[in-house]
Amino acid sequence: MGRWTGRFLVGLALTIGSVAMLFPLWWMLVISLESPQRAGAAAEGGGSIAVWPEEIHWSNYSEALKQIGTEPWQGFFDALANSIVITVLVVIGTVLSSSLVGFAFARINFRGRKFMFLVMLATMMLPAQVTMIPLFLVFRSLGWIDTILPLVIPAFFGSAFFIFMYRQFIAQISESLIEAARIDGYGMLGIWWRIILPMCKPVTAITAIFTFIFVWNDFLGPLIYLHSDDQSTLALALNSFRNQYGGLENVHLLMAVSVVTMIPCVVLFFAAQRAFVEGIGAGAVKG
Amino acid sequence: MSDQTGNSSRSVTTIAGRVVRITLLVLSLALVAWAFVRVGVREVFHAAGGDDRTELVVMHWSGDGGPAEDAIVDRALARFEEANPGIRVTRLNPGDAGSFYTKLQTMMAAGDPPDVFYVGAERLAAYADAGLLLSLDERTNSNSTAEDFNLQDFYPSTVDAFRFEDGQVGSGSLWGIPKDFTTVGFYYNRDLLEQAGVPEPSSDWTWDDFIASARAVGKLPECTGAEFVSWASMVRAVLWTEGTDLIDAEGNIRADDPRVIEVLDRIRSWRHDEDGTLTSGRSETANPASRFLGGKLGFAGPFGRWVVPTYRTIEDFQWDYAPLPRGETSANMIATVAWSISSRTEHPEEAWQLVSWLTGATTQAEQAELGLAVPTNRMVAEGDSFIDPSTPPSRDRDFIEPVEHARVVPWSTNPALEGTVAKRLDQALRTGDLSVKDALGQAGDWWDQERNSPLASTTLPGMPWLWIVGVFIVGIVIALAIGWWLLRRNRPDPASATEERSGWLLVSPWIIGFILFMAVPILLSLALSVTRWSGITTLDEADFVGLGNYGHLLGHDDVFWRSLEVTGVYALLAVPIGQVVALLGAVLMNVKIRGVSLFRAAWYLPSILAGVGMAVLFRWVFNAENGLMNVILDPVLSPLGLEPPDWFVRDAENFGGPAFAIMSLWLVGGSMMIYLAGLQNVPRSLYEAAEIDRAGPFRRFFSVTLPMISPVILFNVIMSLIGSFQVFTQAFVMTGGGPGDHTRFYVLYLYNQAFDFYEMGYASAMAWLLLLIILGLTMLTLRGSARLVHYEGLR
Repeated sequence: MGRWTGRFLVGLALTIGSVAMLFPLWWMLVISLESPQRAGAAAEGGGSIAVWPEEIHWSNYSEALKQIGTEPWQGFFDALANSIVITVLVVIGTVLSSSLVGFAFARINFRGRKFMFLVMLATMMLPAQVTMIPLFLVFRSLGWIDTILPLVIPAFFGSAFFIFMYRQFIAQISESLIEAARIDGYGMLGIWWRIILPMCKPVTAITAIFTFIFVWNDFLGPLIYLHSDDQSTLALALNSFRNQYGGLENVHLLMAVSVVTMIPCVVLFFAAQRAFVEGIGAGAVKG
Repeated sequence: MSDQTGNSSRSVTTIAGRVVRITLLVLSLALVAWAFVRVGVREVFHAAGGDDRTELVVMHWSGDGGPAEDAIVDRALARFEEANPGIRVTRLNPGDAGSFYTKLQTMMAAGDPPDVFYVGAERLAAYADAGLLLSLDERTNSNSTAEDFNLQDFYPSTVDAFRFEDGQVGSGSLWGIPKDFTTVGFYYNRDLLEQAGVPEPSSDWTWDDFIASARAVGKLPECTGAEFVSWASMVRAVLWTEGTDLIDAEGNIRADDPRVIEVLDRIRSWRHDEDGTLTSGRSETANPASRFLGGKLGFAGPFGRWVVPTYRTIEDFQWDYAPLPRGETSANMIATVAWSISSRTEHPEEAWQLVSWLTGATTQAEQAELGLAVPTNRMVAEGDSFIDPSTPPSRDRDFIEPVEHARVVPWSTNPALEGTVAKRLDQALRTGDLSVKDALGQAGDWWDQERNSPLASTTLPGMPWLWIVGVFIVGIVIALAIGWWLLRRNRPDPASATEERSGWLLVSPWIIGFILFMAVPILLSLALSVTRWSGITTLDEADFVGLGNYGHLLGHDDVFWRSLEVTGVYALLAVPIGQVVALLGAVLMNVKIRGVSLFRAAWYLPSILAGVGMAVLFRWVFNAENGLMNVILDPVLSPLGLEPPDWFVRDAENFGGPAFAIMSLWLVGGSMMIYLAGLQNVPRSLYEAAEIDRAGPFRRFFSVTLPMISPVILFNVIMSLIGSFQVFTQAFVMTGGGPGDHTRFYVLYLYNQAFDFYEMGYASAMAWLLLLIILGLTMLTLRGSARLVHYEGLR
């Protein structure tokens, strides 16, 4: 087997795999743009596969988004705004707290550090379901149900996985830099804010991106804590939309809303592809 | 030359890239700013109060009534607001009855239930027993009662359905005002009956009349005599007409009662021993009521009034309705829904005003025109708005008259009883998998087991919270003392003392977070797992059951074992196949070919979109015979004489879980990227050495690559194993665990127990078992792989 046939076969396999990976997403896009009758036919297949919309109906999108929630458009705007606010706050909280704690674990000598670091690593094994019910009770007694607080506040106390990533990265930063800053009279908080955070950009990018994706797609958390229409996130809104418009006659609208909920992650993915690809490997393999 | 064009085109793309990037950045910043302003303004407005009218929150559903019912409630509320300017009503309608109850119970658990809401008669006992409803005994005569409301006008048996005291439904305090009701009977195709030469049923017909007519219709070409549903409540109503019942006064299943077996065997024999008399139990249609629409069915039932709006769309034949036939005696069942008031309402007076308005004569008359149910107000029911011979069914009175000998079907407060009886009756009467005797025997055995379960005792001791908190505090004090002593023992010099202080300061967010969001919840969860406690009440009402929850889970809960099986099968399929695909993808992408970054993006993209949207999409991909998956599979399978499965409906028992495993292949991007990074860390020199030894590509893969990345494989396998035991969103969105429990994943069942049934103690025990399972599997994997994993790859 020649070198070129080998490469050709590899390319072919990758192409087939890529088509298989992306085709359902493309199919969803096609259905979301079809007329109601054609969308129904396309979703039902009938022996053929919709590869291209016969006629593009952009109006499906406005029609679908308008019908989210009880008041036209307001349901969608509320859900979008809530999703953005929750996601942004969680990203900020996670980056600040995880880098701070990671810095302490990497660079400051204090007794008990090793023990606490081990405990922290162990918490990564804990399935979230174990704390789900008691946390619900705690937040309920605080009167936080149906507010975004239970989803946002815990992020400001660090996330074990990202603390670990920051620690690994910060441990490689040259000691002389920190020493110099100390001589300049900075305290530990000053060093963290002026020296460490700016140097940690790669880890921060990964942390921000993964937190964003996770929070944006999270469903169980909002499902438990948020009830009112105006507190709903996009994931929740899509689920209630599915409850009401789940039938074949509305499949184009359902797909349109699904596409809209996915857009931010797709944009983020293409805008930050390099950080994605480098980050995920760096994070895990070193662990 | 070529170099230069290359450069300039590169700079053009860089500039274009920069423009796109900046536009995106500005756009997203604007969007974020807009979102914060919108949410901020809303919250400030909320905090300021905004409106000084009394607010009542009303929640209802609009299942079979659809948008028409929604509109009627909306109109009634608008008239109420107009008549009472001091009250503002907020209306919630989550959709069908299922979503309604989920939302209602979530709101109750959150301590913020709506003021006024629907309660079906079947749920009354459970809600009233848990203290969730306001007693209406003293309100029915209060001054705020609507003018057109008078409890004397109501059919007494419908009102009695909402009386509950001392564990018994039917008498005592009143907890809801029935808004409408229905009795049940058979709908019949007048044209077919005429063709078969049988008379239309009288209002006093018997089971012999019924079966004679059904047999006659069954003889007509392509026709079937009757659709006879074997729903548990309907079967009990049929047994009542023969003077017996499935469940006796003490709540035991009459599994050995010869009369019960005889009556049920008769129905079974009509279906399975005769040709064309009853519809086949094997054919699957989503809704038995809709079979009547085809015009080939003589009778359909027993159904209530709820099918009428649908049947009124029939244009091809004449139809009408007859009440449940008579056996030894006349009997019928009542299905009814009431408006109830939350015990937590801050405005009981206004809430009652609204309830009496919504069940008053005017609103009932409006509802009656919808035709969905019978008004509970006698005057309205017998007036023109309900009795209307011009639209079918012409025999409206046959819904009303049986009320004299009808009652609500009483089920235990344990919701599992009805579900299990229904499953067994379905096997005996519809599919015919079990004989009547065996089905009843199994249901009876299960019920005995359930009632002997450690959780069934009604006199459980209270949870000794004082003790637990005491032990907890002592534990903390001891831990702190030990820590302090350890720190005191070797005191650092002053310079490192400041460093020590700042260290603790900087780590403190994590320590506080760990204590608040991990340590305390874990201990609380452990404590909860030995209690029986409905999350709707307060913690001090929790009962202590010892290891009862665990005992019940392992020994008495079939759904638990089913959920473990579903999850286990999923893990067995998804983990190995997923890891092989991910590793294969990574190996291929490690080959230096053009456009590899595009491939990487394509394989990775779906995994970051894993949310509700993805689940919605894949529900349609796996849809019935014609979804995308089956359109692709069909040409592959049909030459082999196979048919693609109906993943989530007919073949869900065997293909439901595997469908989720197939879907998980689209989410392997993360694992693949980790493999890729691992592959790139394998030193080139090893491959060069292998090449010198003339090792082919396969040999190189198995002798160099695989051992070198084995730690990465181990990491990925463990992570995906843990992940596969936590599947939730896909199952919740795509199937909700159904049909039956064929896709009820472990975490979904845990969620159901906690937030649908409010068994917080039981769910906590499930969470702890999950923790043990995950720890056990991780240990096993680590042990089992100890000899296979080669740690040189990881420096």
